[in-house]
Amino acid sequence: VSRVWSARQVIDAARLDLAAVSTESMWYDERIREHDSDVAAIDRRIGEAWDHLCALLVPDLDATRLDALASSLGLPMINAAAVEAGTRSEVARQQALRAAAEASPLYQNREGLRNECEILLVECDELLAPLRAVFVAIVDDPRFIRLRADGYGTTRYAGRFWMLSYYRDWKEADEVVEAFGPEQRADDFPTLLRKVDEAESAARPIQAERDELTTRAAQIQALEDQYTDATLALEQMPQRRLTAVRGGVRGHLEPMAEDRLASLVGGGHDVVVALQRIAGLKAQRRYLIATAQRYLLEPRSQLATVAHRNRRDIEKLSRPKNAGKTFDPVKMDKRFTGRPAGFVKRSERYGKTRETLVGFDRYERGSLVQDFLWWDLISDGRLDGDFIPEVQLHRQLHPEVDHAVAVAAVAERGDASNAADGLLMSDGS
Amino acid sequence: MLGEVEGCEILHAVFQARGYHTRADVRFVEDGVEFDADGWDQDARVGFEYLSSEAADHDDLSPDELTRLAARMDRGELFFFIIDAAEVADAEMLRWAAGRFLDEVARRRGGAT
Repeated sequence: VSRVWSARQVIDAARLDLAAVSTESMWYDERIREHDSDVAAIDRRIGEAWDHLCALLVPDLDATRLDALASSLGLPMINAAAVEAGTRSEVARQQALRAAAEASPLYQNREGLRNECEILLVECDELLAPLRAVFVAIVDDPRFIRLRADGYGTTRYAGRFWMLSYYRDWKEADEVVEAFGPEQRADDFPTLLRKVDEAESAARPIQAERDELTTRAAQIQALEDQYTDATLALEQMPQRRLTAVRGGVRGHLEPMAEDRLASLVGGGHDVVVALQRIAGLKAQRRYLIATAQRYLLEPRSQLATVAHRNRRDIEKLSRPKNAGKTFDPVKMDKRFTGRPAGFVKRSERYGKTRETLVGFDRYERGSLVQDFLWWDLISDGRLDGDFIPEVQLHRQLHPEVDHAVAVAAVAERGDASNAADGLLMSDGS
Repeated sequence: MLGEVEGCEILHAVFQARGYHTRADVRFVEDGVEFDADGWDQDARVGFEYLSSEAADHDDLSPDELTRLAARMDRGELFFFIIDAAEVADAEMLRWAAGRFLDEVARRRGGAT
């Protein structure tokens, strides 16, 4: 029989547990980052799988094929006439953009105008440089900004000799003259102000001209881009139209349930395999998220409570009046041994489940029927998936199914040439 | 920022060093202007008023009263150095400004204190 725990033993155990909680917390954070990256990778693969399926369904813009697909999918926007009309409209739009660029005098004389702009910009900068040297640093000085706004050194100034602000302005004006006056050969604030005003006035029209030149150069560049983009769009028009049609098909099919999708497009072997791949990847994604919720997010959220309890006990039991207290060894053992052991077990389960989920790639062994449970195929009956609502529900709805047998049947089927038959199968068997 | 108590101590010291006999918290009632001056030399008719939110002095001198005082200062009848606490950067600046103010008073009085 274990002996009771002393307050000192509880304090020591709570300190060790606090350190363990900190390590566990870091482990969870790292796993959660890894999980996010797993989900992102699955999402990329789902996107690629859809691209592949749509490429199979729409290999080209053959009119007969488009009409047949539009009819079978109930998607008139991809029938041959609609696609042709869309292509004509897009060609006309791109031709108009190219023609508009070509018709612009700015575009027609672009080389000469660009050279002229560049030369004039250099000239502007050369003229501006000495003027800017006068005022650039001064006009950014907060004392100068305030004094100038208050009209200091001019008849606008409202300061009076009996106000403190009058002397503050006087002092700051002296400081500004001391800082910037020698370089501008200004002995007092009004002289400095006048020189800054003159330099700014002289720079203003040059700056305006420079802004105009910059705008003109940007307009030339925009017209060149417009011409180049339109030319490229026209050159790539067939491929772009094909991509657009495939996008339309994907947008139409993506929201559909897998069995409906299969009944609509699952005619050929390659298409069935592509559909199985999409269905399997989506199942992997769902299971990964449920696994992270169960083994990472939920336990991670409980760590703060454990740490708080440890800190509270360390503080409470460190008081002299609590030094003689004793504690039930069973409870203490459960708290300080059971919890870390639970973490080890959970982390092992997570690692194994994640590895199985991420590593799965035998999509051709799956089925597209509504009640097929991908979990059985992915886990090969070797992992507990009852924490996943989808798995739990399936077990309730199909208590008669021996999942080990079902998995074995699917595994034996193996041969991809039989994959299309999966459409008719239930539970992979 | 410099507090009113410390600011008034500095101003009394500067004024007294220049020969003025300023007294603290003197009731000033003249020509429709009425307030408690923080420093005032009745004989020299020179003083100061520290406007700070901590004493709610901004309410004591109304804009109209300030205008009346300004007109009398322009005529050389009296001189009040008016300090807005929010504008006092530090003690050194306050001392320097008070000195320049008293120089101006002396100039306006033809060099006499």
